[in-house]
Amino acid sequence: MPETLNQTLPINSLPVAALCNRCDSSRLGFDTTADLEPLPDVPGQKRAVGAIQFGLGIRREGFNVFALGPLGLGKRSLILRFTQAQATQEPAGSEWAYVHNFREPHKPKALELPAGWGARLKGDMERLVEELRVTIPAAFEGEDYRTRRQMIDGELKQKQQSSFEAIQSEAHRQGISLIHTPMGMGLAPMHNNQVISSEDFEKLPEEEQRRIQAAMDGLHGQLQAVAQQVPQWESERRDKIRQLNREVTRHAIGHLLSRVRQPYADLPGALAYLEVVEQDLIENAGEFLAAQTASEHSPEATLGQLFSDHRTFERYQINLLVDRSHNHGAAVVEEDYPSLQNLVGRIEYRAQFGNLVTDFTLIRPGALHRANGGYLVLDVRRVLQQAYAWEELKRALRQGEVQIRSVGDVLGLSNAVTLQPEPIPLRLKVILSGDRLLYYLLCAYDPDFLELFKVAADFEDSLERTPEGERVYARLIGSLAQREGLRPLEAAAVARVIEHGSRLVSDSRKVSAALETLLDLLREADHWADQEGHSVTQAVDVQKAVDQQIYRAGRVQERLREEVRRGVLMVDTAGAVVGQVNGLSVLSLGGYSFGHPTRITARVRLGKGEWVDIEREVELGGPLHSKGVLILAGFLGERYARERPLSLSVSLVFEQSYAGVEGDSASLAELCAVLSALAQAPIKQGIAVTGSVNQLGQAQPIGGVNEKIEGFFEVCRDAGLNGQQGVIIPSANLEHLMLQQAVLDAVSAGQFKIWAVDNVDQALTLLVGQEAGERGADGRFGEGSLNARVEAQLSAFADQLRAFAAPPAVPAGSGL
Amino acid sequence: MTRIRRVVLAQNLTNRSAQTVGAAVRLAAKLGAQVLGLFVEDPNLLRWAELPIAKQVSPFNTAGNHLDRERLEAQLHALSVQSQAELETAAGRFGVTCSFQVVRGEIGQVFTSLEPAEDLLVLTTQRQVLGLKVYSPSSLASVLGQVQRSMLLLPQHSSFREPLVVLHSASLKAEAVLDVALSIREAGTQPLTVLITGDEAAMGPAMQAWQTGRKVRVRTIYAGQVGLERLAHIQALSGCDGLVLGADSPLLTGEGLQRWLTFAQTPVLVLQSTEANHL
Repeated sequence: MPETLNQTLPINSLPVAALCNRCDSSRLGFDTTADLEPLPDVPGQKRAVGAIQFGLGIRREGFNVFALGPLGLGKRSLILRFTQAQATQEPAGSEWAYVHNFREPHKPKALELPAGWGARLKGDMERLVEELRVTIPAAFEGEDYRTRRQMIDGELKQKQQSSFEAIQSEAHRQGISLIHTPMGMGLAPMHNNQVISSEDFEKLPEEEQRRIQAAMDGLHGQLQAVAQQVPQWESERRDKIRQLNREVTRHAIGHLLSRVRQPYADLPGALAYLEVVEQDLIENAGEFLAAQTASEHSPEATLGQLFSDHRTFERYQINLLVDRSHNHGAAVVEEDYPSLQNLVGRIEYRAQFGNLVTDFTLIRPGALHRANGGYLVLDVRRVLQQAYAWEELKRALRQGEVQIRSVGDVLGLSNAVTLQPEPIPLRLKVILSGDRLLYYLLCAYDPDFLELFKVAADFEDSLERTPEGERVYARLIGSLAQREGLRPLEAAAVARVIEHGSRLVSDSRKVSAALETLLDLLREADHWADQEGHSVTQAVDVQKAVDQQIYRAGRVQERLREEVRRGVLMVDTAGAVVGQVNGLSVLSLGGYSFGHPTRITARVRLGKGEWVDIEREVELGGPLHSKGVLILAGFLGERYARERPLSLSVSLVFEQSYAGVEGDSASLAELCAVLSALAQAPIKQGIAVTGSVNQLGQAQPIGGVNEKIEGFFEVCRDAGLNGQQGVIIPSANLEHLMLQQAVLDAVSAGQFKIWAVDNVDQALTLLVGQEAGERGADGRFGEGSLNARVEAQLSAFADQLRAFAAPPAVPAGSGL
Repeated sequence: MTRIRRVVLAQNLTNRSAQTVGAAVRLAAKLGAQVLGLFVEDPNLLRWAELPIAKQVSPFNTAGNHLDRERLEAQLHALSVQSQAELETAAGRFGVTCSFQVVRGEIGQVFTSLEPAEDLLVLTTQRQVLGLKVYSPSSLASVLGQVQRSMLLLPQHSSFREPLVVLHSASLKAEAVLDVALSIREAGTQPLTVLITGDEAAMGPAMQAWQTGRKVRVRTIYAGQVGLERLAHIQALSGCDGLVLGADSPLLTGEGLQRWLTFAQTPVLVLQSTEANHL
């Protein structure tokens, strides 16, 4: 027998002081929070803060940060504060721009520039184009250019004419004329200024015919030679004009480009870009001339020319993705809607004559571009909710570059010709925040995760509630009130907030670190203070805020209590019943939790050790609940039927429970019900039980102890408090007690009791009002004790089972 | 005012250009005239094709190939179809009534059958053959001999938007010339440029009266006696891209027109009037 079970009686109910750790406002040392110094840091998050500082400081690949903890701990504000502080000490990152790729227009080039230089280059290029639109046409309209051009044209003309005239002259001398034909030229023998007819030709002497024939062959050869040379001459002319155009353009743009280049002398990327621009301008100066010429065509053609003109000069634009000219320090970007496009950027399209077209000026940046060189803060849940955002974020971090890809690109659905912008190198730190479940799931199922997010900043859910801790918490409350522009709180109000903070975490030795919840309480208390005309927020305002929160959320709870009052839900709070006990459960609805009693009944009969957990049989019980029930069998067998078969069949049920049951917090109650049924000892219905039990019969702590006690208290109060009612809880839950004032008042008045027990015997003794009993030196339980009755019943079941199993007795004289 | 009722676009192998088609149709639209497209097939060419020694050198086959009459006629037909299509397209765009004929004969003879008072001939004066700018002396000469006819001569690749009106003090048809010039120029804010040669005093008041009557701004240039070279210089300075002048202009005497075309290579609109139309 376990030693602990010997330390059972007597069990006194808990004093009021044990039921709630009250905060003494006089110990806080101030009148109102206006007297307090604001708190510079979030208290109690030393581990998380250290991790964030480490993560922000370390400059190694993969040391991105994941801040984990439940919502409302102030993770985001703390991350932003530390990140912004770090960023101001760092230089602003580079600016990135996309520029036209003159060789492969569908692959825009990325251009890196120091902060502030992007806008300058953009402006310089716009001004350059404007000036070129005047300068280049002016150069080509100049007399110098026209003269040189005329010389080139004249040279060709001279060549052509001299060759042609030589042939014409020779032909004329021989009585042959050059004539136009539909496809070119021909040679015709002439007679009296008329082309000789075929009849006349045939009438000519044969010698004359041969002469004409020979002359025509000769001239034909010369004509062929000239005709073959004409394209070559034309080509030479074009080359010369092209060369002339280049020279004129180079001369015209030279001083303009030199002026643009000057400030960028130390920026090789910009200089290289300007070099390419110069080459393109020299090769395509004609476009600046075409833009000046008025259209002589149809309106459609004019429109087309306008678009063409517009696009032509767009290629000299600078698409500055991020302008950091006004940045002080590195960028800190928080993307609230981290869709794929918002992260990696996108390519927009414009409708043009019914088609969607794009170019490098329509590339739009994403959060990764904006945060490049700095810090990007993201909510991991939101990232995971967006299609392919998580995968592309990881890819960007893994590759160290950001590439613009749409969902269609990722899926390979898009076959249309589109832009392929050059990837931009990525140097940034990503700080994710999210709850612990997501962190652990990602650790377990995403092999890349820990490689890319090596720093976990684990936020505490609660803070220590020591006297010093209370004073720090008071400063935190004061800081929050000041930051939110709320009234100062008087010390008593702060004490009430501290108590509520303990209640939120169900721990009298801790207070909640959920700053958002705390802030909500302060805001609401401030509202009620305002309603009451209080200049400072008082404890009554805080209490009203707490009460109102409960009231607003308490409709379901009240309906359940009503059902109990009306007898629809059967819960007894007086009398005694065999095999029936009040268990306690917690219901969580919409962020509000409350306790409620549930009748648990146990029935036993002869059997072979079957435990029928009806909840599990109908699949309403969760695995933890089933585990708790099976533990009971272990306890029962070891204690009462060590040397004989456990010959019983037990059935257990949560009466009138039609939803799922999970957890083992009712296992102590269930065991008491089974023992009551075996011993045929009635259980007092004014007492409810909560707690789990192990195979040794020891009571183990459970969650929601305050809500459970209060839930049963409310039901008892509705039925009428009689001083015999109360709740049995595990001793290990003592430190979790932070009960409401109404319960404390009832306990103080002797109308309600709370007992803390260490084991099932203590619980059973309280429930039945009779000692459970211990085994004596002879190994037997005391005569008439509950345990003795249980053991006796089990022994009787075993005997009965053996009797059933024995072969039928042979009647005397049967001859067998 | 002008009495031109029909613009005759005369084309043959030598004188053929899509730009001329456009210019002719645009001019007809401005004058409120119809367009008659003529494609003239030269009988000399057909006769040549029958020669056993006829060979053609084309841009597509510089080695030369024999050409018989049948092939030549097919090629001419293709060209005429192309010319007709170009004319109909341009006429449709400007809302001008047009007709088209293919005639066979010397181009000069064809023109003599036209009504001199109401028809305006439009001709291309140059055409490249095998990349060579070859003048077409035979056909053009036959036309230029008939300068008593109204005609627009357009070098290839030239445009005609802003005319320089050239009037001589002895001209009998100055008003008609001015009216036509006024009607064909592109609408704009620039004044009409008029060059008066000869006796300044004889023309000044009359010009003033015409200007007032038509409510037109005129930029008048008095040049006294001018030759073709000076005329070209004035035209270049004026910003005008072609000439409009009367058929009786002293500048056109002899081979003046032919020399101008060789010299300046800009469009020329020559207007002939059957009745005295002195300002």
